[in-house]
Amino acid sequence: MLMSSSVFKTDGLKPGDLARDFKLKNVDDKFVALRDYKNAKGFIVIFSCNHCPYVKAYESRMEALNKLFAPKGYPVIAINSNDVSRYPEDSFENMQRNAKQKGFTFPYLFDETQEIAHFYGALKTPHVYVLEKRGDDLVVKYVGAIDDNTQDAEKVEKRYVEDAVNALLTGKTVKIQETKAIGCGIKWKESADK
Amino acid sequence: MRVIAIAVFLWLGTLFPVAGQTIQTVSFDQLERVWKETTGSKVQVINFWATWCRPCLLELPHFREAISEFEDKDVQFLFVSLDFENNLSKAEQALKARGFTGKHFLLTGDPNTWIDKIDPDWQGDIPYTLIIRKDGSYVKAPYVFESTEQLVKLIRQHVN
Repeated sequence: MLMSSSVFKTDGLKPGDLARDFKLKNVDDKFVALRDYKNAKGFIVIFSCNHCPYVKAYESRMEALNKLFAPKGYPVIAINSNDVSRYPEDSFENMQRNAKQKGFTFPYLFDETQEIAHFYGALKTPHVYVLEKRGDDLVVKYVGAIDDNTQDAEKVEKRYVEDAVNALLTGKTVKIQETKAIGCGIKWKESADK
Repeated sequence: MRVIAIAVFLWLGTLFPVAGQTIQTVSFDQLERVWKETTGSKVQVINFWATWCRPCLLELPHFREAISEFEDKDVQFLFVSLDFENNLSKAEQALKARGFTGKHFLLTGDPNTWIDKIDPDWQGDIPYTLIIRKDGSYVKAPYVFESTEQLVKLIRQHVN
């Protein structure tokens, strides 16, 4: 059955919810978990993939976010959860190729079972969850789009993720905590339970 | 001589209408004005699609057939592409290849400024179809149409 992702509209983490850690394979074949980042203050988790034109439009901006915020304690963590059998372009080998070609300095992890995308309630690529560490907890502080202009980085006016992380870094409230993620639907495996 | 040349040129122009763009780039406000113009006199079927959306392309032929089905009825079909602006010609080709004619739209602007105006429950995923009845009420169809019958049946329910 062809499905639109509106089935998931009421699930998914919202600002204030607790996120969960994971341990997923990175493009360098090593496994990465959020708890590995002892000194991080939080994370910019971005559900992503190789094929989606929306992601392609944002890749350099994702890299820029990592360069800007990783040194400040908020690294970008990209995760590909797409069903490779339907979208071979999103295979692990292609993730490695893509990461190498684009020179990603952030981890690009393979969520093969789609478990993490399901838990977070990710619907699209790109779909961002900004998490703040609070003790052992990971608190969701922002969910949604990266900024307000997919097509033209020069014409961006609202930098949703940048503003959220800057607020967290300066102890201020995040003004816009949630937007709708704009992009291609995450490609779910057909046998997935909804 | 030049006058005659111009006259001939203009006359030829009437025989071969310039293939202008079939897709008009619009902001949400402009698009809303288009459908508000016809609310009341016709039922409107508004379909949001894009060339990168496979299910969208698969259901477009059902819409093409539905257009014929409702030709002499008070139904207006509006197709709104969410492609990137620089892919406008790609979108035009996709429509042409599927036998669509007439005016189409490509919607620009931050989707977070207009999605909720159409449907607060909509996450922006496509295809998405909205039917606006003559009384102005909205009927949401946030799913793929698997057959022409399924689409025609739904539209018929709201045409009176």
